Amino acid sequence: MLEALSQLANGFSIALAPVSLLYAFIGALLGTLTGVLPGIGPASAIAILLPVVATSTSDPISATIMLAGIYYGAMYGGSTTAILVNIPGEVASVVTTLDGYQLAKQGKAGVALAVAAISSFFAGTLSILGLTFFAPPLAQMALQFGPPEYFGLMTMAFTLVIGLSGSSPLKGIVMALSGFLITMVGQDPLTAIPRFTFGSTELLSGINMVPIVVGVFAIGEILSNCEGGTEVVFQKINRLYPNREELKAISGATVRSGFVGFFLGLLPGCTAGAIAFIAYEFEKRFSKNKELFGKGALDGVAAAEGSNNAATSGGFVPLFSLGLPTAPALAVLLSGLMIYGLEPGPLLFKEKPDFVWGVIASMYVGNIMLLILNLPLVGLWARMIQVPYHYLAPLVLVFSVLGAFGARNNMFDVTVMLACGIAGYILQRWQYPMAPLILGLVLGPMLEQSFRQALSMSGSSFAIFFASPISVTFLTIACLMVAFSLYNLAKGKPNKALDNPS
Amino acid sequence: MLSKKNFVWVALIVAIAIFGLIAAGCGGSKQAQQKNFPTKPIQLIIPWPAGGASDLSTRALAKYAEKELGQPITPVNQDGANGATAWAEAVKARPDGYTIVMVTFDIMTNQALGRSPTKYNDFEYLLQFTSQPLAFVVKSDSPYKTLDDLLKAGKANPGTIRVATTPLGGIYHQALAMVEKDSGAKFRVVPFPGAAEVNTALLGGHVDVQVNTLTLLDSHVKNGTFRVLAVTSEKRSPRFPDAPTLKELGYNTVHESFRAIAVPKNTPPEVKKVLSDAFTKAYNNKEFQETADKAKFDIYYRSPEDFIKFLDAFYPKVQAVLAEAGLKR
Repeated sequence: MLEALSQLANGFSIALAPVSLLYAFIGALLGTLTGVLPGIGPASAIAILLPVVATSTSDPISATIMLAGIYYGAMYGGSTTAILVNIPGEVASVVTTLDGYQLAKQGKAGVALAVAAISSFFAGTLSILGLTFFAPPLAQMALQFGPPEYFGLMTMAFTLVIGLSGSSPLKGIVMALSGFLITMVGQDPLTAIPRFTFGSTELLSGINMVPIVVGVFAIGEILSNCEGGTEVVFQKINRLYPNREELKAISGATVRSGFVGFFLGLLPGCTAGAIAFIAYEFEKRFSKNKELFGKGALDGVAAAEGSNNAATSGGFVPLFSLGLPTAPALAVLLSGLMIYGLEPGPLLFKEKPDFVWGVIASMYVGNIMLLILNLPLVGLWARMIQVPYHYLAPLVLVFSVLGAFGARNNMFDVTVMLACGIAGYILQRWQYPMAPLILGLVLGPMLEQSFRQALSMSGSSFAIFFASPISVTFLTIACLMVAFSLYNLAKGKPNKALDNPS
Repeated sequence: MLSKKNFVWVALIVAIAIFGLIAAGCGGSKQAQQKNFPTKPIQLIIPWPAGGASDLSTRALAKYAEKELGQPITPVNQDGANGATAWAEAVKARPDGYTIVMVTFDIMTNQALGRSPTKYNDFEYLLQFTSQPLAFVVKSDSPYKTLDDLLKAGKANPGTIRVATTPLGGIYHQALAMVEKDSGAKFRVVPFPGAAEVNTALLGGHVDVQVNTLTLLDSHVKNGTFRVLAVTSEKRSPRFPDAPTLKELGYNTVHESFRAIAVPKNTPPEVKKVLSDAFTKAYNNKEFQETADKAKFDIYYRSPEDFIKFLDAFYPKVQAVLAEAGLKR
């Protein structure tokens, strides 16, 4: 503890040097932009900038400070378009749209954006504290998660679908399973055998999640807004920043999402999208205003945004102490470090303390910068949706196409996006909820992979799922949750609180 | 209605557009273009995601090649389907030297498994620039001190020792299958999507052995967490001088992955020569060698002639091991 503090102090002496501050600021700024633009995720942004950075500075600390800034900065920026125009900037921001966009429609875009920034800051900082004091032991803990444990975790997460399904659990399950099925298209990630590709080379590489998400949310929204033939009116914005009661209301959600995000962020097999879903559903069980979730709950926004920020710093724990990347962006960062001849792994803390602690300290600094950068932007962004919808809609369409294309430089993905937009619109008219679809897309591959890997480990014996206490715990929670929901249903009182229009 | 001011703008844009079209149409005859190749930027298709080792090593080489060529090389990442998507597209590109593509070992796997329309000899090669051996790795507290220990155990209790590899049929799995065939041992294969996941599985003790490239191993070996039992290269790796090669241990297996740069078939020979010379010079550039050394790209050079000979000799082996493993249809 004390040693960590003195090391951290040393880290701050590096992170507060003018050069480091400059790199942290550039990283935070670029990250925010990356988050705002759909299609360009932090992984591709870091990859694009890596060669540029590598030629501009020979100091791995400066470079990493900036690249890390892009990563967590993107999590701040991702909420912007999610809240304003229903385009999730990153898959992790899908959950933010559920409440954020509803708030924007009610004229509370500014408040939602500010809450997103504030909860990101506090949950993010909480998570960096975890990284500072407990990194090596926590990394060892994360290693306990193998295929059977992931299967337990993912099964539990899958039961969340019930909460996201609104009034009709059946429709929710249908959507979740459709999402699951879509993820099976393409080469099987374990055997490389093509599935559901019908001989097409395009389908061989699978259906990318970004175009589906952008299509279903952004395009679907444009289509339903066109429906009435009248102008869509967002309610007038009367207040930009949250008041004291609102801040108090989100404080619990922020802290809880910080913990959930940090711990799940440690796990190499848990994606950012999954983490946001789990944190959101977790928060719903604690919240005093459950009935508002999905209709514009500020704590819903706080949970989603707080958790994805906390997860980014959580991911640095296994990266720095074991050399294990938990997210695509961190994998890119890892290869970036190797260009500098650095090797993240068990020796990094010992051999390169300046590097490790300089970067960790810069994350505290970077988060403060992001808060300062994002809060004044709230006014600017919020004014954007005051633009008449007949000008806004084409812009949204342009950005959606760019986002879908940019994810893989592929025209096929644009077609997928447009098709999903139309399908999403029709399904929403029939009251099929969209959130479970995305949940299926996010969890499907992890659920399937961990299940099959566990069975190859055990030689096809199901006993492996009951041999691990971690897996047993998760599976038990999953069973209880299903039983509880069935009981509620049987009582004929489908929980109105869980009604979710998106 | 168009105001006068607007009209002027529209007229200007139309004029520029027409001029542009004419200029593009008069691009000169083909012969003239070839003589002073290259006269415009060259697109380099990389079939792997940006930021991985494949991507970074290729970009590093391209950076020095563009200096030789005097024209920028623009890398485009088109990942998916184990490279098959990008290769299928690159093979259709106009063979004028302005579209070049990075090719890896996986093209042979795809072809042998019948999962890709593209064949390795649909391309003509400019050079091979890396060669990545694989390693058999256990944790240091593992009961298997040597590869022989492991193989003996694999024979005594067939199908019980867990070995992590990347997806079935890929080069990691091929190396394992070759050793299984030569020794008569049988293992329980647990496939993972990528090298990082394979490494994690062994670190967490969820498998007993991993087959992996050397990229992620160094610090764990130095730290005493991992032990390398054997490598699949012709000679010992300078990174793990204590680890014997399979050949030394009496198994006739050399199995290494590679990275190469290629052009579609029927590219004019003089264009090919310009490109090949530029990339070879880039490879021999001192700065590139230093970067590669620091980043551990495992660089290795084969000329176009040597490389195609190597591929022709190697492909039947890939076919054989996949047929043996029952994966080839």
